[in-house]
Amino acid sequence: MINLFKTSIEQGLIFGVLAMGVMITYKILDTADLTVEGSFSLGAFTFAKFVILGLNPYLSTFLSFTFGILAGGITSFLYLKLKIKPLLSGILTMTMLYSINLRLNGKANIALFNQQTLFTDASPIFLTLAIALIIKILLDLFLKTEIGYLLIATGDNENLVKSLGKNSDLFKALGLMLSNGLVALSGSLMAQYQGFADITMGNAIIVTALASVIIGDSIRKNSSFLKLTTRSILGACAYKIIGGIAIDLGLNPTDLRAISAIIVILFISYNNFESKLNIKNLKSKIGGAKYVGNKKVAKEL
Amino acid sequence: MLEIRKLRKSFNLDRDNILVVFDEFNLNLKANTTTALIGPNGCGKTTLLNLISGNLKSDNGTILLNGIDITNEAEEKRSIQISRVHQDPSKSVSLNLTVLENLALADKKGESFNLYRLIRKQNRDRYMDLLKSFNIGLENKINEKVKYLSGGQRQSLSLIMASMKNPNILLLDEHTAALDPKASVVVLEKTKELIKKNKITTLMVSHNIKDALRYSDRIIMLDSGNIVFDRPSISIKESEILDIYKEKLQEKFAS
Repeated sequence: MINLFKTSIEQGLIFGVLAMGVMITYKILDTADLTVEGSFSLGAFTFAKFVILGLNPYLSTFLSFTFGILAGGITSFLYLKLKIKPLLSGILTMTMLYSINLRLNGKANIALFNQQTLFTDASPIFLTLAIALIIKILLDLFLKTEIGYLLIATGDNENLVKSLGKNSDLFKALGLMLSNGLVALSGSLMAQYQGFADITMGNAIIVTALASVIIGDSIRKNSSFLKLTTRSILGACAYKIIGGIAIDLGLNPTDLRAISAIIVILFISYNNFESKLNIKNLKSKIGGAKYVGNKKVAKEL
Repeated sequence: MLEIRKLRKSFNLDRDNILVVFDEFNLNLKANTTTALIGPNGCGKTTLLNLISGNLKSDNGTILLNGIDITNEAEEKRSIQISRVHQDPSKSVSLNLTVLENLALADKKGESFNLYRLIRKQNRDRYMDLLKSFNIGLENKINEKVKYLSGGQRQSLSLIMASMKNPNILLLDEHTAALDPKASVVVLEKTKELIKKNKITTLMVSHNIKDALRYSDRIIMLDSGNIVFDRPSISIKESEILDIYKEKLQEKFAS
């Protein structure tokens, strides 16, 4: 059980990087970017390619991040320059990436057991925690900069960005590129962690990422203390732990995708209908001394 | 200040129908004046603001700002000199950011954005003073997200943001239409103060003739893309304008 917990956390932290990437497009830019389905495996395959060529694992991991940025760049070009709808732009890039990934190494599955990776000499839990934290801190700092705020404003109100004398398309492209860079980095880490890169790695990864972001969002919902980045990491870990427990309880691993989709459906619909369900008001209707903080009688006050 | 020469704008409704909103349209706005633009729905008021702000491209004609041709400049480039407050209180601000963050963004208008921290302590006091001078209690909400502000507060914030970097032209697109009468008066009074203090040339669209008369120096009525009426606001009474409205409506029904 402890082992299951540890593995879930390690994988959760790797998926935390993925979730932070998807958070940029889904939460900040308010678009659903399907490029991630391709860029996650792109990260894994880029790493495999370069590490097999003899490059050191650090540089190979960094190159995965860069290739992810390029993938985001392709989607941005389709979306912003060729005016193809963002959802379709993502699907088109993802489809192209499928072929590119296969071309990169010439096969659909590459073993990395004999290769030098970031995990070769490091403890996985320590390494994944360090990477997730460094990215979280860098991303938090970035979102507090002038450009970071413009990125947030672009997702919120493009008119405002234009009125500030800036081209909002630039910031959409920046968001998409940064997002896919992080997703590819996460893919590269995943391949190194599990010891192989596989073409199916990216399948339905958007659902995993969204589930993580959405679960993270629901943790202490109204607390402004928890930043979006922290929520993404916590969400990814929670998601992995839930999945780990489910499999431990005898669930078939192939059913996990359906469960992920159901988690996303439940959380999104809960958020959409929350005000109608009035769960918080229900408490006040029940009323009574149990719910009143100050129990002094009115006269005494 | 702002000069519009022989402007033409048309929209393709479908393959055979073209709607010409403006043809050979001329307008001159003098520096430091407030001009009210009135007219029935569909007369071209908002289209004109969109053409000036660069949100729409004209088919023909030139727009000059301080003698410089800006007709082909992109909206984001023009917006450095031309500020606009929209009718919808959420259209000129970022709802998910705080009042402070919105102000800090507006303070960087037209400048280059870098990887420095946006919110700096030394600027915070300046924004605080700015909000205090507006005197509607926004200074107590500086760290609150704009989505929790009322419509009147949002429009006041939009105004402060639009005028922060002393634009050459301020475009007000029925900016009090979505507010209740009380908030509308407050925002209009503050607008007047701000325009006077910063000496901004203003073009304001309004459906409220009383407001248009009260808060402008010059009043222009548009009808089907033509100026049917252009006089100093002092020289005219509300009833006269209403009579012209009626006349125009009757003409429309008759045709």
